[in-house]
Amino acid sequence: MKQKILKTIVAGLVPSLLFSCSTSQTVTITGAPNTGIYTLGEHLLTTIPATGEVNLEISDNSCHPLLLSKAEGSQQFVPFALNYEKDTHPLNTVALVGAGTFGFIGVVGIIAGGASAGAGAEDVGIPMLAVGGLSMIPAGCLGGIAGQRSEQAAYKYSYKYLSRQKCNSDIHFTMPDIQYVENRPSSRKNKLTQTADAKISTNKVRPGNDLAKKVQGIYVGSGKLRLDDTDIETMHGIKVVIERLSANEVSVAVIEQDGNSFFEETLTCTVENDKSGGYSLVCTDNDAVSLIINQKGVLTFANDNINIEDTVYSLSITGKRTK
Amino acid sequence: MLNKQSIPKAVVAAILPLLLTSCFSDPLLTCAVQYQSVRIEQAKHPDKHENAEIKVAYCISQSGELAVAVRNLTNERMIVDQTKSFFVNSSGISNAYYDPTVRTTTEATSKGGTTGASVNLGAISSALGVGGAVGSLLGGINVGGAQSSVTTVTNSIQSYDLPQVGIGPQGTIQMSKYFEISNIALRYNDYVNTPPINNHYSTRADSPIQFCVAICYSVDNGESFKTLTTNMYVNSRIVVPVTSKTVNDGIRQIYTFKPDAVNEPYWWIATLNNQPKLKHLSTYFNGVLVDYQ
Repeated sequence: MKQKILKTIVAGLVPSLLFSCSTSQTVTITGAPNTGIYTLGEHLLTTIPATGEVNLEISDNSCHPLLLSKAEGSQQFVPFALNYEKDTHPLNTVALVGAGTFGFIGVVGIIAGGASAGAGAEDVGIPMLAVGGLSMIPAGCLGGIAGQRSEQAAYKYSYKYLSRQKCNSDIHFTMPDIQYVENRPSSRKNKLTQTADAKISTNKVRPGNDLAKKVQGIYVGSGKLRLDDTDIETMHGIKVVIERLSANEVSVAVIEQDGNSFFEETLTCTVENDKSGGYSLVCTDNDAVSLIINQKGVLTFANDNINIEDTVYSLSITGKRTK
Repeated sequence: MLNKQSIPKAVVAAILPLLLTSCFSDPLLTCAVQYQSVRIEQAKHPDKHENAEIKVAYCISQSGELAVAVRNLTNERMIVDQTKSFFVNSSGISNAYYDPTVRTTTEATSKGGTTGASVNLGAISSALGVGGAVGSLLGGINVGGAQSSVTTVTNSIQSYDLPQVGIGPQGTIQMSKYFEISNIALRYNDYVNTPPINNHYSTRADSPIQFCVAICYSVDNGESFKTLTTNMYVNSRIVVPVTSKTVNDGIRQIYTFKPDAVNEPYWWIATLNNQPKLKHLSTYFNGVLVDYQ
């Protein structure tokens, strides 16, 4: 009987002692030499030596779906994942089953032994009590350790890492194309770059030479705002209002259909005769503007340098003079 | 009838499965890896703010809540008008930072209106140039104008927003509310059967996830107010389906799709798995969005 009891204890304790030794996994991470391996909290775990690979021991308590690598001299962390496979840890399952079996024997032994002893059958009851009590020792040991293991991440979530992993240090990253701005306007009007003051000439001219008088008026038509070769906006009912400032100078305002001025300030242009019999308006404060009025009173306006919130658009307007 | 030998077997058969199943969770299942980056529309260079009055840093939590910290760069007292400061979601719904509702809670540590989003406050502190003890306190202090009064008899806490909040010279506050950005959060269930996604949006108008924060402030003791409006949008969203043995291959695929992935101003990468308790270990955030005026 004593030998049996001893065997029972040994059968429970020895595996549990052996079983309690392995609590981590070792993975080999390959990457460029001197690359640091970090946790997500950016704490250094290890550094890859000149051989290009490093063994990293990972506790089964720790779960690392993601880790970081940082190349030597770089400030940029690069995430990489640890590949894994399903592992139900059968040894731990066996230990739990063993603990359950010993525990069951122990409970049954104690209950049955106690009942027998209580009923007067002490010769049967006491040995049963002893077996039951002693069975609880390996049950406790195995159950305690296996239960503790089951709380470890690798056991709880039934996985183990693959033995070889990459830290992504071989990937070359580019810089994003971000166009920073210095100022951010609240409306596009603030960004238009019409700045020169209108200058009114005081020179006297002959009536026949008063070109400004010939071109002044309201021209109604449509306009297109374009970015490169793409139409951004088509504006119908847009007006170009030309007012005389002097015999050869006019102010030019572009009014949208809703009555708002497209530009924050009016343009100032000099009127010249065109070879085709029309008029050419040269803007003194903005050489990106081209403004032509033909003999039939059709106006063509173009500005290739419309700065709206730091993006350069082109605006073209075609309109006919209203009577 | 059960004989004496069969009873123990039946008990073991009943107890053991219960014992075993109670010890294990579902196996770890990783279904996809995801990358998202967020930009500010018409961003200003984060390091060139010599003449700025106000600097604002933005961070997004795992659950998609936006944390906002404001720094007064002047040597004057700054007033943030919460009644005129807003968060505007992708849906266009505007939420004011000022909420006149008086909130009653029983939590002794309640900060009234602060929901406790887990964001990288260290990054915010760093971006705003708030170092040392103040920086470390940023996540803990109740700022942004929620005021509390404790009633000792009932042990409840009443809190309410202040319409205006003052910030001392060179001081920093964290706005008291975390607003949730629609559709930006990482949700495992969204991606179980997802096809690969590889979307990039060059402008805010193109992006399906865009949001905006307007901070109304005064540096002349409330005589006049200015507004710093920051328009933000998700400019890249990539999802790559993976298996347990190809998780890192999925991440490498993301880097192939987006070679500038780790150099974006604000980005995060996540493995999407079935274990909510591992969520904080499955996501890496990098950077912070900074705006100033």
